[in-house]
Amino acid sequence: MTAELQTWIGVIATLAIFSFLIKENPFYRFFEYTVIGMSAAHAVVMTWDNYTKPFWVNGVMKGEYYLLIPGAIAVLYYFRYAPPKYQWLYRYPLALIMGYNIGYSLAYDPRPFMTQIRGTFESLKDLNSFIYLVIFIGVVVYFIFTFGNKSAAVGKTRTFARYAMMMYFGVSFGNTVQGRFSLLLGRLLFLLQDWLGLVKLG
Amino acid sequence: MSRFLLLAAAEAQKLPRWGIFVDTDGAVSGFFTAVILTVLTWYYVTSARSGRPMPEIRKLAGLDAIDEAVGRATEMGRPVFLANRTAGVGSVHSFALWGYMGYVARLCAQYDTPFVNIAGSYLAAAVNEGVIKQSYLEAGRPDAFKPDTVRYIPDDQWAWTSAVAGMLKRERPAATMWIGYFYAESMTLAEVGAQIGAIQIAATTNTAQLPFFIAACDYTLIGEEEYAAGAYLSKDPMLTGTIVAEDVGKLIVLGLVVLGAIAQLISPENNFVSKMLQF
Repeated sequence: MTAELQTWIGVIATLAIFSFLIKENPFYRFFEYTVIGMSAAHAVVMTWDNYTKPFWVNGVMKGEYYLLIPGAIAVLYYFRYAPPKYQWLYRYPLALIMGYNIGYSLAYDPRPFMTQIRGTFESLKDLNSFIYLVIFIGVVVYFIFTFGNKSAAVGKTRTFARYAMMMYFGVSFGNTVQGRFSLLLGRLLFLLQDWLGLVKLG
Repeated sequence: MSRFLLLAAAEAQKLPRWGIFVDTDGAVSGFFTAVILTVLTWYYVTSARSGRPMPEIRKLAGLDAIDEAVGRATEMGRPVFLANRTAGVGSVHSFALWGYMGYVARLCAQYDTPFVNIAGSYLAAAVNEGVIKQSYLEAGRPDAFKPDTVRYIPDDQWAWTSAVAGMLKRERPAATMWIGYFYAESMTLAEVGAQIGAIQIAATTNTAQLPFFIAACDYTLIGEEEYAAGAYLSKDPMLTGTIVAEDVGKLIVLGLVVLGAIAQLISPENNFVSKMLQF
C-alpha cells in the first residue's frame, strides 16, 4: 500500500463517488460539494486569466479605452440583481450574444452541409453506398414534421428509417459501453495497483 | 518564434477569392443556401404570425407523456425536474428548451406542483428564470416562483452531473426531463432517474448519447424532434414557422440528392448538382 498523500486523496474521492452506487450519503455529498466548489473556483481563475486580465491589464490600462464600451455592455448583465425598475437592462448583453451566435451560424454552418450533401451521391459505386443513400433519404423523410403526414408511403418510409436508426443506436450503445468499461478498469487499476499494490501491470 | 510564424504565414499559399467569397468548396452555394433558408423562414414566420393556415406539426409520442408526468408528480406530491447543461443563450437547443420549459412550468403552476430547472449556463439561467416567471404569471400563480426554482450549477461536466445526481436522490422528483445537448453525463443522469422511479423524457440531437436516453428513459425525442416538439408545445408562430421552413429546406435537399444521384449514375464527370454544390 502506497504512502503517497496524492494517491490517498484520489482513493478517498474515488470511494466516496462509488459509494453513491449503494445510496446517497454524507461521504458522497461532501465530495459532490467539493467538486462543485473546485469547478467554480477553476472557472473564476480561468475567467480572470483568459478574459479579465487581458481586458484590464493588457487592454484598458495600456490605453485601449474603446474596450470600455463592450465592458459597459457586459456590466449591464448585473442589472439582473437590480431593483425591478431597472432589471430590463440585463437583456441587452443577452440579446447581443444571441445575435452574434445566430449570425455566426448563418455565416459558417451551411458550407459543411454542401460537402455532406455531395457526399451522399458522389461515391455511388458499390452496394454500401446505395444502402447509405437509401437510409439517408429515409431518415430525412422521418425528420420532416409537417408535410405528408397522412401518406401511407411516407409512413412506411418513416418506419424503415426508425429501424435503421435503432440499428445505429444499438451499435453506438455497444461501443460506448465498452469505452465506459475501460474507464472503470482504469479506476480499478488505480485502486488495486497504485494504492494497494496488489497487481502489477505495465 | 513570432518572426518565424510571420515568415511561414507569408510563404503559405493564399486561397483564391471570388469577389468577397474565399474560393473554397461550397462557399457560394453555402451563402445562397443561407439566403434561401432566411427567406423561407421569414415567409413562414410572417405567414404564421398573420394567422394564415400552416401545415400541422405531427404529434410526437413523448409529448403526451409530459402531461402524464406532471399529473403523476402532482399525485405523488413530488417535484418535476427539467435540466439543461451546455446550451447557452445563442444555441438553437435553448430556443427549443424554452418552448418545453414554458409549457411544463405552466402545467406545474396550474397543479401547484414544484418545478425545478437546473441550468449549466449562467446566461441561460437568467432567461430560464424569465420564461418560468412568465409561465407562472400566465397560469395566475406568480407567487409559486421560489428562489430555488432555477438552480445554476457551474458547467463543469462531472461537477454538474454529480450535483444533479445528488439532487435526484435527495429530492426524488416524480418526473425528470433532459432537454438539450448532453454528452457522456446522459447515461449517469438517466440511470439515476430510472433508479428513483421517475418518469423520464429526454430530447437531444447528440446521436452518440441518444442510445443511453433510449435505454433508460420512458420517452426519447430523437434528433430534430427536439426542436419540433419545442415549437409544437409553445405554439409560438415564430418557432412553428421555422419548422415549416426547415421542412421545405429538407424537401429541397431531398430533391438535390435524388437529382445528384441520377446525374452521378448517368455521367459522373458532368454531374451538375455536384458542381453546383461545390461552387
